[in-house]
Amino acid sequence: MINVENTKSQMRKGMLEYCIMLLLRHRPSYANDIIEQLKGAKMIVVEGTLYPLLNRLKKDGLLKYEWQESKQGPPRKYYALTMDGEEALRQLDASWTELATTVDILQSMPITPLLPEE
Amino acid sequence: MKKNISINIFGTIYAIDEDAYQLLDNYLESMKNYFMRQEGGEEIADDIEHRVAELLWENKQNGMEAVSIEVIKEIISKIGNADQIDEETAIHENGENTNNGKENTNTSTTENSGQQEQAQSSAFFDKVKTHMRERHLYRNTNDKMLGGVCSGLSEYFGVGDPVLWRIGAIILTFVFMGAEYWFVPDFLHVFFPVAYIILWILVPEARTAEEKLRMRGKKITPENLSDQIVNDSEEQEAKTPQPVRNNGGCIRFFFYAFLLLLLAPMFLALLAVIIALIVAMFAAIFGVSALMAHPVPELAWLTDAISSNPYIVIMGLVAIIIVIGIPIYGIIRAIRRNTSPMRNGTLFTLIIAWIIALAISFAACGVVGVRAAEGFKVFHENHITIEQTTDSLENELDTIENYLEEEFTDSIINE
Repeated sequence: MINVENTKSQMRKGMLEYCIMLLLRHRPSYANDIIEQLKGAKMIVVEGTLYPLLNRLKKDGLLKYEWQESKQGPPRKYYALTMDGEEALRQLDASWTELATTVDILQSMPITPLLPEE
Repeated sequence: MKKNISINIFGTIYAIDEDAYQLLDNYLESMKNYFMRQEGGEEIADDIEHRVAELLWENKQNGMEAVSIEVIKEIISKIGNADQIDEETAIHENGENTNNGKENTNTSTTENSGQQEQAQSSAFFDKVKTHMRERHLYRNTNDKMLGGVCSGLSEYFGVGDPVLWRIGAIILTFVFMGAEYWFVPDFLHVFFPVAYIILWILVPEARTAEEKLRMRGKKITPENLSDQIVNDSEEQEAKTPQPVRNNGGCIRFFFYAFLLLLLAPMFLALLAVIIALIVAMFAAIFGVSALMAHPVPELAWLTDAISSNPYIVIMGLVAIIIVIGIPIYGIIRAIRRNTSPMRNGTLFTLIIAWIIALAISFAACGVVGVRAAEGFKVFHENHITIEQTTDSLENELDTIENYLEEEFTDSIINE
């Protein structure tokens, strides 16, 4: 059971960065928006998880951010994809499609009964 | 009722309860410490502080005037602590590594006994290692007699009550002081006091809630932190003096005035006795040390008795100081209004220490006294024999004189 849990969480972790980038594909968002979406999708449990990831993506040059004043509370960082980020996202899309297809194929494999040895 | 302070986060002012502030401060500090280890950590910590500010803002918009500790707890559980974030962001290899580790230990335990033993001993060392990693040595100033070293040690090793450590330290101190009979090198005589002072200087005090948790080897989770902070603030509340309500009438005033008049002479007498005792003690110490520096032959029996047992004398002096000091401390505490009642453990330690010190001072006085008495006896006997001899000589002279006088008068009469 522990191993199943572990695999599940590893799957989730592997997907996180891709999901964040997907969320930022069409519009810049600030951390809270991303958090709400990811929480809704049960991708993260605690909000603090997001910040190191955003930081890492920014450091790798895939994301950029700019400060915007907020009428509600403190100023916010609005994150958006960079050119590199969009390129990376396209690659990730391709590899995801590939993975998904493979998994689909494996899941829908016809049941072939084991033939007795002759 | 709680003390309230105002904090400024990114330009907005929030009124926050003191305990809530402590928890928040601890949390942000621990996040900072955690993220400092990675690149861009400062920025991440800043992001988290921004998030906290945002949540506080929302809270304020919902009409909450003051930020209570519950709000902070909720915020922390929302954002998560270092362990949880670590858990969620850890990369694949970490998970595999721990798995491999588990399998390895499994296989090694199933192999032959030699390796099993090795595995066990390494397990023991692992235990010690995790213990050292989880716990830090701090001085526990929440429960202290002097510097909190003993209670810090008992927390660090997780063994026994601080009281036992203290009693042990006191006994060992005296054992080592009088250790000339146990063939112990000289420098060990003051080993314990010196070691205590060194630890007092070098070991940091557990100030923040995080340090207090680390001292006990507890995990630094928001729950534990908030528990610790709540405990601390409760303790603080118990310690802060309650303002004296002056709701007594005239009768009460006269009653107290009468009581004061009645008791004042007794208190004064007691005070005089204590002062006299202290003066006498200092006089004895200075007098004897002056005597040691400039010996007087008539008092050689006393100086000899003292100088022949230096360790016993030192032990006795320390013990006497304790015997006198503890009651004085108690009286001072009793006189001062704003002290909280003593903990049972502290009281117990003091009583035990006092009894031990009393016994030791009696023993030391006895040993020195017997030596002094022996010396005095010898001195006195010599003195008496000298006096006797001089007396008899004088008698003889008298008789000779008398005889001569008689002879002389006889001769005159005869003439």
